[in-house]
Amino acid sequence: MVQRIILLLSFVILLAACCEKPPALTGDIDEETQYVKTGNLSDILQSYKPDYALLIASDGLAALITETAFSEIEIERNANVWRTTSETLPAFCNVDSLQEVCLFRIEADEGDSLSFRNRITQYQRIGSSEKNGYPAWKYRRIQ
Amino acid sequence: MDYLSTTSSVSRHYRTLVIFCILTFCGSVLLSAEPRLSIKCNDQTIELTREQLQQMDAIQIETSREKKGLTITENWTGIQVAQLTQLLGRPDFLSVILRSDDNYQVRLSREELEQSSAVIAWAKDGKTLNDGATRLIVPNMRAMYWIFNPSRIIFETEKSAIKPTALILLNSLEASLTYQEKLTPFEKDSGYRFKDIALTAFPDVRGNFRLIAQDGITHVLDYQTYLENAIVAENGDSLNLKSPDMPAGMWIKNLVYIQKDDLCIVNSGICKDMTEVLNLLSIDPETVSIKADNENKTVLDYNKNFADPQWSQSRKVFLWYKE
Repeated sequence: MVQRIILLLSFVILLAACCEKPPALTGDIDEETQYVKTGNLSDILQSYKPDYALLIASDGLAALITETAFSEIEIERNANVWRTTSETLPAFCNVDSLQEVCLFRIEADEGDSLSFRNRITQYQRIGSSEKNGYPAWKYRRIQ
Repeated sequence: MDYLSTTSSVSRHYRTLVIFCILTFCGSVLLSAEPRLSIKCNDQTIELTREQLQQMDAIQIETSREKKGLTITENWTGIQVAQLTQLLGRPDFLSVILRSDDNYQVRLSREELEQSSAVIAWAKDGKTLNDGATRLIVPNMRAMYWIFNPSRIIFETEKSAIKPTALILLNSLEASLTYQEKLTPFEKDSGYRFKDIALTAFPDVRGNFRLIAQDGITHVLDYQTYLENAIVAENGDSLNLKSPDMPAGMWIKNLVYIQKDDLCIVNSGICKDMTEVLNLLSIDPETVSIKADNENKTVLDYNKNFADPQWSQSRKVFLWYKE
């Protein structure tokens, strides 16, 4: 009996893990929440034309990057862990356990800019860096 | 009658109590109002009274100023601002902000501070300044830097501004901004709210903005302290920045450049081409290439006037610096 319960529980956990959603794409976008795919960030974001992106990790840290840096970032998936990798950008732009990519567009409509505004105010800047001419800013979620 | 006299007596006692409370409150306010100077660097803050300041090694400096055709020579006694870093363990600072009680603020680079031998003076020509006042004296710099009663000194160890890597022209943002005829509390001014410009263009408005006037004077101002309620008033092609949170002496005439982080906004009504912008920033045009897209492909001619179609074709241009 116990064995069956354990098996059933394991199955449920496995099922939940398999169904885990990819990182959400939020912020100044017209559509409902979208999801990030694997690949080069510049290609993924091409249709949204954002000026900045906030890469949000599940541990409460985040990195704000500029449009010029998008092509320097790859989004990868390993099992159910999503992450960003880059050798050219400041180290904190390698976000493990990517949870969300929140986009900012200059001159966004007031309606859809609220979500980026709301999101960024939940974070405080804790540092900035520049590598290979690419600036980036590190954030931490306000407790 | 008895009732009336009792009421009057209670009322008298009550009045005495109220007066006593007011006097006690005023006394405590006066005692705590002793001028103090707060000195900060990173997470470390110390406070000094004027007496403690005067016990430090004072120096004397001589300044000469032209006023109404006359040369005025003055002798100041005070403490060198750079010497105050001793109290904070000599941090490796890059710049210093000095702010008075009414929020008047000046910023000096380490180089400016050390070259000018700036002092916080408490005596002029051997006489103590009135009412226990102090004054920042920065020899060889305009009197607008000589602030009265500096109450806060902040030594900054991080760069306050990076080189811009993206540029937009203010007129390209105008469609997204609301032009206001009366910019309260400046009822006679019309133009834009600084907040609207900032929220339209910058992803995070908190922190320092770098603002440059046509005459090249640069201000680095905190958004929440100075700029959140500021207005950008139009006067022909010129823009004047005013804020109810700034003393009038800090208002910026002929604002031409606004920068936060990597992005800058330029008033092309005054700054006619990229060469003028780079001059303002002391950047050699030979060290930068201006590109119309983020893929580093289309190079723009920085000598071409901002009215040229090459600028209007792209909402934002990118600045790539050569190593």
